Amino acid sequence: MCVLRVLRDGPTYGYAIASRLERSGLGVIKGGTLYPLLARLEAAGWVEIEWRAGEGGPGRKFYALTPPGRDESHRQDQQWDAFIGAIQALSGTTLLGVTPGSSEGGHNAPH
Amino acid sequence: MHRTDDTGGAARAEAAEWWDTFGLELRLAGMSGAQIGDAIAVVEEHCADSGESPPEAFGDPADYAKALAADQVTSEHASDMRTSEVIGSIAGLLAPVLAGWAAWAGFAGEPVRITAGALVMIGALTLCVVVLVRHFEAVVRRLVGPGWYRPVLLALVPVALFSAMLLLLPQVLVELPWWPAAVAAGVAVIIASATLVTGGGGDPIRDPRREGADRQPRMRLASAAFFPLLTLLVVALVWLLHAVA
Repeated sequence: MCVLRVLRDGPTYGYAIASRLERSGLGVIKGGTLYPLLARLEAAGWVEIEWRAGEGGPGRKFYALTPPGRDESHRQDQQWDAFIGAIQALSGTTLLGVTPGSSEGGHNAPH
Repeated sequence: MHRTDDTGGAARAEAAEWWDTFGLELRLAGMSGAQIGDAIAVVEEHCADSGESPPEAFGDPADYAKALAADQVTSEHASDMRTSEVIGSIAGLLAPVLAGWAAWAGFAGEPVRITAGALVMIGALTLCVVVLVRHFEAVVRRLVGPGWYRPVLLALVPVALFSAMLLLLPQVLVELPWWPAAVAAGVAVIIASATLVTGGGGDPIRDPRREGADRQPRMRLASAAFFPLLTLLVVALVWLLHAVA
């Protein structure tokens, strides 16, 4: 889901995807994890690849969302939102630990 | 192929071993030359960007190769070769044998004597070729591995078996003039060479960063000359044996 979300911002290459995910707080994404995932996304028809000539260097493999891939990314976002909503409803709190309808802010540790 | 390696002998050795294993595992997984070239270029690109070595960025090369192959179109088996490739391999095996027979008979002024042992040997060699190309991964995994005894057995056992076949089954089944064997050898050379040159006997690794680039152009040219040179070498050796005798 996260990789598809990155690609929604435009075509990019593998290391740039890994760096973006790391900066987002998901930790170091190794090539051994990322590229098989991208291969699965390509096999599913959600991602297409293109080798582009490099600027004075070797070429780069760029990944871009296909229209079905863009639809799938939005679908996964909706599934995630629904999941978060269900968790919130079960726990009676929002993600920030605030009980809906409460005037208090701050963090309340859920049990 | 340019590869990005860490400085230091140990790191370079580790990276070299990583590349060797990676390439072998990709082939055994049934990936095409184009897919292998793509996988190699991705590793090179990522390591150049990240500054990591292939082992650091991609971990165990066999595991990474299998993960890649699981999601890409591959042959059902690594040895899922076309019938033409099997025929080409058998032709390549028979060409020097037939040339040797024809040369021996021709230089001696005698007919080609095809013995029971020779026919059994040809049948056994053909069977070995078929098993190898149809079950390439399983055979290679058994033959490639640690231990000094593997290459020794691989070299000695077939020679011993085939020699035994020739010695223990000396009955002459048919006699032919030398020239049918020579013609058959020539046909076998043409079939084997054509299979290699047209790519039926090989699937060169292609660098996707260079459109249409073949990572092994010299290998393809060399392959076209291999069987003719091998056959000529056999004929020359037979001539030498006659000259010395």
